[in-house]
Amino acid sequence: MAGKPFELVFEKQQVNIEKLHEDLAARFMSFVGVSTGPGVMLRLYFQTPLLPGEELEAGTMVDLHDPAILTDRQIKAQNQQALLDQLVAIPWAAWTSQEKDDLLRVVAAQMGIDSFADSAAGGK
Amino acid sequence: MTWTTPRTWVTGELVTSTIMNAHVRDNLDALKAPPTEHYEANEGSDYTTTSTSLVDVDSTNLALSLTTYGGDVVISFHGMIKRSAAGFVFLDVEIDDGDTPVMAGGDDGIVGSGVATTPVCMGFTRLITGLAAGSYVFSLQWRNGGAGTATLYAGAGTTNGDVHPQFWVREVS
Repeated sequence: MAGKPFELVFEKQQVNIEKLHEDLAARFMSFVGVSTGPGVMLRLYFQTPLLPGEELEAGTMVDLHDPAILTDRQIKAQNQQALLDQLVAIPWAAWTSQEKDDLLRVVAAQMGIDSFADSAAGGK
Repeated sequence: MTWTTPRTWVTGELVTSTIMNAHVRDNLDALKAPPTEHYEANEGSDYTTTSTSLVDVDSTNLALSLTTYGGDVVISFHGMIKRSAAGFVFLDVEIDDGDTPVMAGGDDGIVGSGVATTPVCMGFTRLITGLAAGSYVFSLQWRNGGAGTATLYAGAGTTNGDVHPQFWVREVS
């Protein structure tokens, strides 16, 4: 479908756009996504224009946004990476079968094989 | 420079400078310098989006204005893209005549690729036919297939990602 979504532009330097996306998607049915680019511009996209009060509310959510707060997916990814870093530090000859299973789960999760994702994310 | 349909010469006609300038000089000029625009990103930061609907990548720099003479137009893009999690990224180009925008690709776009956290090269070359002579804005757009963030490297000095994407449009016939 052609035609650009409705856009709100803000100036904000530090953004965790996945977290901001999650928060805005939970609040606004018509929310489409967040983009950042060169400069300090942050763009919010909606399928339809917001009411004035809703624009103010979206602006407040941007103002209050804390980039240090992670989404569940980001926390899982961090845990997977930490587990991977821990595993690769072990000499191969010393690997247990459990550690090999853990590696397989992490790699599969990073490849997007969903059936492995939860077990890997919930690992060590 | 406007293209003039080449004259059909007839026996015994007087070749004037007006005819030669219009049908030889001006047409050669038109072939040598067709309508063309391009942008090569060299930015202070990379582009990112979480959008799962098509949105402009950069509505200022990666939106190219071109006035055409009714010929076919080639659009082309290349760049390096990654995602924060496994998923897809789709690229398309909106062609806006100021009245009724159309998508160059439509459906899932001109090109889509499975992208993980390791960056991949994405690009396309697309021939656009049937455009009437006129002024158009060609806007590069992108979207995610799945939750997560897509990043287009923009020559911003990112380690192992200091790659400069290029977007161009040119009338070719």
